[in-house]
Amino acid sequence: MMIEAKSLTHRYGSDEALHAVNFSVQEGEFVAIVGESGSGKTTLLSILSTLLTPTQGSVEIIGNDTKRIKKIDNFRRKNIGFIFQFHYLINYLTVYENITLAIDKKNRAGVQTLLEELGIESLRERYPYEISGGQRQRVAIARALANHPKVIFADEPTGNLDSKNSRNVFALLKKIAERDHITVVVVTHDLQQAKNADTIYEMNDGHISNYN
Amino acid sequence: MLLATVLKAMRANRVKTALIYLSLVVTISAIFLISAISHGVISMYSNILQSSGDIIVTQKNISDTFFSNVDTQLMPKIEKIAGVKRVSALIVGASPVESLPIVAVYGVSKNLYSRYKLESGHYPKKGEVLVGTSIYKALTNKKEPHIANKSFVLSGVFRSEIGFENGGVVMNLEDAAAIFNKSASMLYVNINLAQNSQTIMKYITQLDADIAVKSTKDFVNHYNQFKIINTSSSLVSLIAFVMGLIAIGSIMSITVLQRKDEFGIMKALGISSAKIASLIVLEGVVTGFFSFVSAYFVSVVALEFIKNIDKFQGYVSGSIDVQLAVSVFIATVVMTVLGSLIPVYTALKVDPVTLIQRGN
Repeated sequence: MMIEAKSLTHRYGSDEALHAVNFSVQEGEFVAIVGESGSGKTTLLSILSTLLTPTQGSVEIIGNDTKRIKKIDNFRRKNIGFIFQFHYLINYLTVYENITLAIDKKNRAGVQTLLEELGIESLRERYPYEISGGQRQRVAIARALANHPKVIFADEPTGNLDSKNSRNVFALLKKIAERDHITVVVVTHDLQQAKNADTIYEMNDGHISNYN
Repeated sequence: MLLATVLKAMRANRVKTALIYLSLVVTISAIFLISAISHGVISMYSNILQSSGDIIVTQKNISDTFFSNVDTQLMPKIEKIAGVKRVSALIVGASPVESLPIVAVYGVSKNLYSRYKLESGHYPKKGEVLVGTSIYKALTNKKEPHIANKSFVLSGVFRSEIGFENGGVVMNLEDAAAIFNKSASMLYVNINLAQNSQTIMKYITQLDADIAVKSTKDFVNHYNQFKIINTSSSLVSLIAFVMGLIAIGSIMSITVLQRKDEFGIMKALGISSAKIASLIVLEGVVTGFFSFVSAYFVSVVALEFIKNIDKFQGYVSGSIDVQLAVSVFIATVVMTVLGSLIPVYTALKVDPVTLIQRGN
């Protein structure tokens, strides 16, 4: 099992965002989580990816209980890639610097291939504010893949793109994930895109269920 | 790579970087000027004392040499002690000189005249006065200046290497004794190098129960006025340091607050909190370094300017030595490290996703 969450509950003050969620993902699986805004899907993704500590419950990722991982930053860098809706590239760094910001030395040589594969090699020295939304999201994907992660978590990766760019980005992500046997968990409100996943879950008021 | 990233971040946040830079330049310059001027005053007076004799005799239990009265009749008795080369006397006083409300007046025995290098004229006889270059410019009556309700004939102008002496007037001991109603403020005793100063001091002490005898070094180290100046300057420097720290801390807090999403994403990517903190601290230290260099030059120019203001008559003077520069540099580094570290440490304690969300 790549990810296993047991009885996850999370509260923001008195508001319960997750209610006793049990969830698991197999190695190499491409999972989509759909749901309306405020249903708790981003909170679940944040907890699964170690970015947020749950109020209750446990998460095991790549055989490690997240509460017991001592160097969590190090663990994230070596095993997890992130793609966010608003790409979150650092504006004062070039495309190349953004991609290599947290890269391990041994992976630096592979960045050029990654840039070519994602069709952004000509943007290498450009700044995020100098490129389009679709290009930024490709840079964000490159950054997520740069350290050869075992799992990628993507929060509305196409939420800020037009339909053509959304299709392209999603297809690219799926292609690379299948080729490199990377486990992917995607949160999206776009059901059409979610249908490309191996498994779809639906979040509703903090509860998770299989999507039918 | 780290430094390049830091410089890019500073350029991207140039307004806040400029604010921190300006705050630091003002703070560091204030510390430099306060310390340099107070050290300058102390070192000038110390130099006067140290260049005048090996042993200083003052009245016992007196808080300041201004109030000291030592009988000059002791001078021939001290001269007879084996190993004593020379005894000289000095009266230190302050008096109005023409329109200037307060001017240092030095009444000196003739064997001390040589310390005042003549620019023009001759050393003062009875009823005459020798004036420093700074005060000479301020005199309206350059032939017969009025000092302490009495007219003196100007015998000449002197220049001293000790800046604030140039703002004073020198007269013979008898004239000064009449003005200040005392025999001498202190006696300087020069001894042969081979002689044991402790033994000589013991003999001098036995001559009069109302005198205090100290080596010049001991006198300088324990002089109350120096302690007061040092304490005051340290206190004001400390206040400037704290104000600088608060200013940097405040601006850094705003910077950190605005860049929370950036730090959140760095944490999400697996960059350790220590490395993120070191980026911010390095931004502060780099700004601090440039501020320090700028403040150093600002202070040097300001000190030179102050030194040449006639109104100060050479009293306010100072220089920045290596020890002071190193101390202020260390204070700058401490200030920037603390001012940067506290806000970033507070920010990095929260979960990355919270940082990312708060940054928007």
